[in-house]
Amino acid sequence: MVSQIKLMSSDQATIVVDKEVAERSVLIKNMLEDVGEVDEAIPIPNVNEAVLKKVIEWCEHHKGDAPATNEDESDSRKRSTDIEEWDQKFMQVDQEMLFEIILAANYLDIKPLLDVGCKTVANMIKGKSPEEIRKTFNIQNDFTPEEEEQIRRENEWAEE
Amino acid sequence: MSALKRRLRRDFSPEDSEQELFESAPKRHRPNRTAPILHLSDELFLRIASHLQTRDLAAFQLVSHRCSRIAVDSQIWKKLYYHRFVRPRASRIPGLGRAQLGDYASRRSIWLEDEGIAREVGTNWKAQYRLRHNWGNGTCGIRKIDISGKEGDASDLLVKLFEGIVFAASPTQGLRAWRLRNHDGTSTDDLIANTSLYSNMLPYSRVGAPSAIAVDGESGGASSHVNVTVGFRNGAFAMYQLDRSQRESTFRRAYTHAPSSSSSSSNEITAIASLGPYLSVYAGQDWDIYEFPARAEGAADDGCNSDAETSGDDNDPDSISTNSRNPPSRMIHRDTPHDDANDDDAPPTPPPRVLASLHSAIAWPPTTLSLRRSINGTLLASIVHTTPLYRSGWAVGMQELRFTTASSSSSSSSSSSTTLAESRIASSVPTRFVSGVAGSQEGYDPPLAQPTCLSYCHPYLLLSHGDNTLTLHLVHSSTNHLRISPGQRLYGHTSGVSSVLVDARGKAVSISRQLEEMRVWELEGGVRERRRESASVLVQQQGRRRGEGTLAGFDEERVVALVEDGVRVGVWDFSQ
Repeated sequence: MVSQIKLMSSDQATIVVDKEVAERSVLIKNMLEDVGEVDEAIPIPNVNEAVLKKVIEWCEHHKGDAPATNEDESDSRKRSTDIEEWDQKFMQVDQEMLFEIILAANYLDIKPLLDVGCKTVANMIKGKSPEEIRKTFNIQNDFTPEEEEQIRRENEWAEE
Repeated sequence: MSALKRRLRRDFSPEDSEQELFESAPKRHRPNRTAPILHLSDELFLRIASHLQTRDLAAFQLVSHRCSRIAVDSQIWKKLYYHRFVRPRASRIPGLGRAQLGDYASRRSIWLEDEGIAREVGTNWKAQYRLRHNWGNGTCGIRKIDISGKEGDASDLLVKLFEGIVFAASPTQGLRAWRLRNHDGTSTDDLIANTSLYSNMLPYSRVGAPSAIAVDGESGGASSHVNVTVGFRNGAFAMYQLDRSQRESTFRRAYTHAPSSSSSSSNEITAIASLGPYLSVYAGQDWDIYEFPARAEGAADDGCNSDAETSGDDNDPDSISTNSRNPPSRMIHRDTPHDDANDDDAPPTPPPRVLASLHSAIAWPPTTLSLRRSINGTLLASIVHTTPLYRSGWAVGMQELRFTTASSSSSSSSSSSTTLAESRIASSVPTRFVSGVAGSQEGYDPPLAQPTCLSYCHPYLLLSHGDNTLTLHLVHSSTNHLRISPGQRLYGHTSGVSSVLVDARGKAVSISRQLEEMRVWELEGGVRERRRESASVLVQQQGRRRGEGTLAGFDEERVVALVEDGVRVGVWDFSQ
């Protein structure tokens, strides 16, 4: 028998989810260990329904994954921004949603999802010029031309 | 359930955190519909940036002030540094495979200690990365220090780099020291001290030009003193101490050794090694190892401030301030080593004791000396020389003297407990070697011409040749045996190599005579066949070189060489 729990999003929507799936979140897992069986919906106060559903969709897909590897190994893989195909498709969302997912993964403590999110953003930065990065993320340039020039000079060595 | 709610409230309380964040970083938290990325905390920004490589970080840094702060974060650069420099290094060294390194922090910190940077708090990892990157590509800034040398002076000029200080000894300009870095880390070439090499009892007419220079590897560091020993053409040598404790650095002559009275045809000092109280000198065909009494070490150490020493310093007749050229004449007596009778007015440094004295019937230059302490406290003094082989080729030979140094708590400072325990010899020629028979020695390939230069920093022994190659030997020294591995030829230069230096980590620099080419070598752990082509990089030259050059040393950041026939000192700075 699969036990289920209820989560309540910040906009008061109740979502029923398999306990096993919800426990991909270290935060929820630890809480459930602390309080034991509960009937009430667990409030997730800063994740809205749309984002929470998206996060749960990811957890559903990855519920069979091996438990998180140790810090060192993930360290060596961090260099590569390879993302598996399903995750790539999963992350094809607007920027607002993308960053909401990252914030939620961080808050709920779902490290593999957080990594996928961060890698996705890193891939959006890769190979772009500073101006292209600003356009992509709608960031204002707050440098003076002199400051820009100085940084450019300092980093000449990095432009192989 | 209420417990659960409490817990959640503790983990995330919208009211509290909103206020908190708003106060600490208003920009970050202010609703910004147009740039959702700015909702992320710096911590998350860092996570994203940690997936970027150098070039993308450089672009990211130019996006905005906030991105700029993230892009130079030391944690990111530390990871990149490990990935690019530490891990490959581990896989290169036999017995330290990737798997072993992968597994842990303690091991990593040992690696870092090797790099000499982990000990420093607040390491600028981006600067460290850049430094290694530049070494790896042979990219550097070149500047020159005008040492007012005259063309053709090169043969009488000796230059040495030690801890960012360039020492130069010249018969006309004396002993000078330049600092290459200011306290704030910016580059400079300030002359910080100078003194005459000669004095009344050490006149040029008697001792001749300087012929060898060495810096005490155990001075410097935290101590404000650096000991420099200069050897002269006729066999005399003098020890000078650079004192950096005052605002103005000064040199003082700590000890003068009169020329030996031996009648052998040449007494020229061609090599010196200096380590703490020990001094190893090769003059003519004589090899002497000296030990200075404990007080000499104390004086060099700066640590104690005993009465005797203070008075010794104050009244020191031999201390020469920057420009004084006339030490009191009563020095003459004291300076004669065999004249102990007049020695009772507490000289700053009593004469050293001879620990060993060896004579060789024939001497084949180049020769080099080494002094090192092993972990268990024994002192190892070695001489490395070349030997012609019957009919054809040259071999490298070495003699190593092992001294035991019992640390007795004897109050008598003059008694020494350093004693010669063993003398061993080794040669690069395999015992089965048959001279002149090509191809029969399992790949052993002795150089046909006499090597131009040799450098030994245990365990690396590197020879340069006129035929555009280097030979690398590894020295194995244990309690049971002393062995020199068969040589391995290293290719890369396109002209004759005249000068080579290697350090204890297997990094080496070699130059051709006219400085058309400078190469940097990574020889750590030896060079495996597949790496043979890529064991060195060519240092990118700027402008045309002219005149001969001689290497003076290299350190983490730079290579220093005497250039243009001795007119200037060149500094190849890789930190830029």
